[in-house]
Amino acid sequence: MSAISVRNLTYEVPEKRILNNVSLDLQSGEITSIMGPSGSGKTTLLKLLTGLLRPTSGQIVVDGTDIAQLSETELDKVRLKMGLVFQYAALFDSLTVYENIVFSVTRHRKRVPRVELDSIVRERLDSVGLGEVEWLLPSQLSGGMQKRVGLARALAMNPPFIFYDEPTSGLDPLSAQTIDELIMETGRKRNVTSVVVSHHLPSVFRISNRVAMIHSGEVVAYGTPADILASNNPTVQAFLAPERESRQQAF
Amino acid sequence: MANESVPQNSPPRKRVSPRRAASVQSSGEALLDSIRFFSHTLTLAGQTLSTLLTGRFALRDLLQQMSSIGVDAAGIVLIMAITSGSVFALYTASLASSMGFTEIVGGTLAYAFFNELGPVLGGIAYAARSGAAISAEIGTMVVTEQIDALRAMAVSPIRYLVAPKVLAAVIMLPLLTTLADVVGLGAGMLSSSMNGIPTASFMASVYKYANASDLTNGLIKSVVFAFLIAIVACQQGLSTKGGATGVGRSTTRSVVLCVMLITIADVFLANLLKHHR
Repeated sequence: MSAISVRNLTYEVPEKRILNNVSLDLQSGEITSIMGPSGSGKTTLLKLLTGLLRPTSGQIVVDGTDIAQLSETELDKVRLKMGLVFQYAALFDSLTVYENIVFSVTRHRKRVPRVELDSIVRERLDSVGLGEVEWLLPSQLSGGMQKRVGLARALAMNPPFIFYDEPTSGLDPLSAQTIDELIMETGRKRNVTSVVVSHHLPSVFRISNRVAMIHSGEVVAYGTPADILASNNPTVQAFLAPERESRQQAF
Repeated sequence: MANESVPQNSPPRKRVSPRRAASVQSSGEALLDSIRFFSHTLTLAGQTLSTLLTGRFALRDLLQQMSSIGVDAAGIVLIMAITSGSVFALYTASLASSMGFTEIVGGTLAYAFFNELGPVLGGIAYAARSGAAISAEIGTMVVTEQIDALRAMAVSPIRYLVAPKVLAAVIMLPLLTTLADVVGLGAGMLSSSMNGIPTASFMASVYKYANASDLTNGLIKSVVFAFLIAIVACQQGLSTKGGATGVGRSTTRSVVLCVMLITIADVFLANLLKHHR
C-alpha cells in the first residue's frame, strides 16, 4: 500500500492551471524526489501534499486519509505526522535554535519536563551533525546550518513523513552533499517516507529511490533513477542532458 | 456571411477611449480591493473573537505581546500627550484670559483630553508604532514562510499570533490612554501656570467641569480603537505578497487604514457616547 497516493490532482489559480491531473503513488520508507524546471509546479505539489494549499480537484491520501476533504482542524491532526523542511529554513527568527526545535513539542504536549526538552534538542542536533548552537539565533547561523536546524525542527515530533523543499539550493557542493547524506540517513534510521522537491540533478539521483519529473504541471515520467535516465521522453531527455553529459565525462 | 447577422439599422457602437476604460477598470479593482479587505478583516475578527472567548491561546504569548506592543509604544504616546496638552492649554489660556473666563481652562482641557485627545492621539500614535510593528512582523513571517511553517506544525497563526496581539492591544491601549490623560493634563497645568492661570484655579476647574463619565467614554473609545488597530494590522500583515517591497506596502497600508478607521469610528463613538454624560 502506498504511503501517499495522489489521484487526478488539479490546482488552479485565476487564469492559470498550475497542476493538471497529477497522479502519483509514493511508497512507504522510500525517498521520492520530484524534479522539474523552475515554475513547473513542484513546490505547489509539495504544498498540496502538506495541506498548505487546497486542490481545485482530486485526491491526496496520506496514511489512509484524504486530506483534500479535511477541515483545517482535522488537517492539523494529519500534519502532526509530517515534518516540513523549507527552502530557506523558515526558522522563527525571534526564537533561539533550542526554542525553534522544541516549538511544536511545547505547543502540542502539556508540561513537558525541561530534561526531556533538553534531550530532544541534543538528540536532534546530534542527528543533523550540529554542535553547541542551541542558544544562537537563526541569524547567527550559516545557510547550511539553518537548513540543518530546519531538519532538526521537522524531526522534533518524530513524524513518519518528511517533506523537503529544495533542500540543497543555494548551498556550496560540500554543504549540499552533507544535506543529501542527512536526508538518506534520516530516511534509513527513522524509517520515514521522504518527499524531496529539487531541481539539483546530482542530489536527486544520489538520494532517491524513485523520481517523478514534472513539466508544465504534469507528471511526464515516474520511476527509479535508472528508469528516468533511460527514458525516451524528449522533455526528460532535454532536462537530463547536462546530468548525462557530466556522467559521461566522469566515466 | 458574417455581415448578414448584423442588423443593418443598428446604431453605430460608441467607442470607449482607452483612458476611460483604464479608469473604469482601476475603479472596479479599487472597489473589489475594498470588498476583499472588509471581508478578510471581518472573517479574521470573527475567528479572533472566537479564539479569545474560548480561551484557546497561551498566556505566555499574551504576556510577551503586552510587553512588545504595549510598553514599546509608551514613549511616543507620552510625547504626543505632553506636547498636545501643553499647546492646547497655551491657546485655551491665552483665549480665556483675553475674554476673562480663566476658570474654564482646566475643565476645557480635561474634557477635551478625556473624551477626545487622549484616546484619538493615543490611538494614532499606537497605530504608527505598534500597528506598523505588528504588520511588518507578520508580513515578514509571511514572505519568509514562517507562517507556512506554523501551519505545517499544526499551530494556528490566529491562536499563536493574532489573538494574543489583539488582546494585548485591547489591554494596553486603554492603560496608555489613561497615562496620556494624566500626563497631558499635567503638561497643560504647567503650561497654563506659565501663562498666568494659577494651579489651584486650574485644578478647581478640572473638578468642576470634568467627571468620571468623560474618562470612561475615552476608555471605551480606546478599547474599540485598539481592536481595530490590531485586527487591521494583523490582516494587512497576513495578506502581504512579494518580498521586502510587499512588507513595506502592507505596513504603510496598515498605518493609513488604522488612522482612517480611528477617525471614522471616533465620529460614531462620539455621537453614541455623548448622552452618557
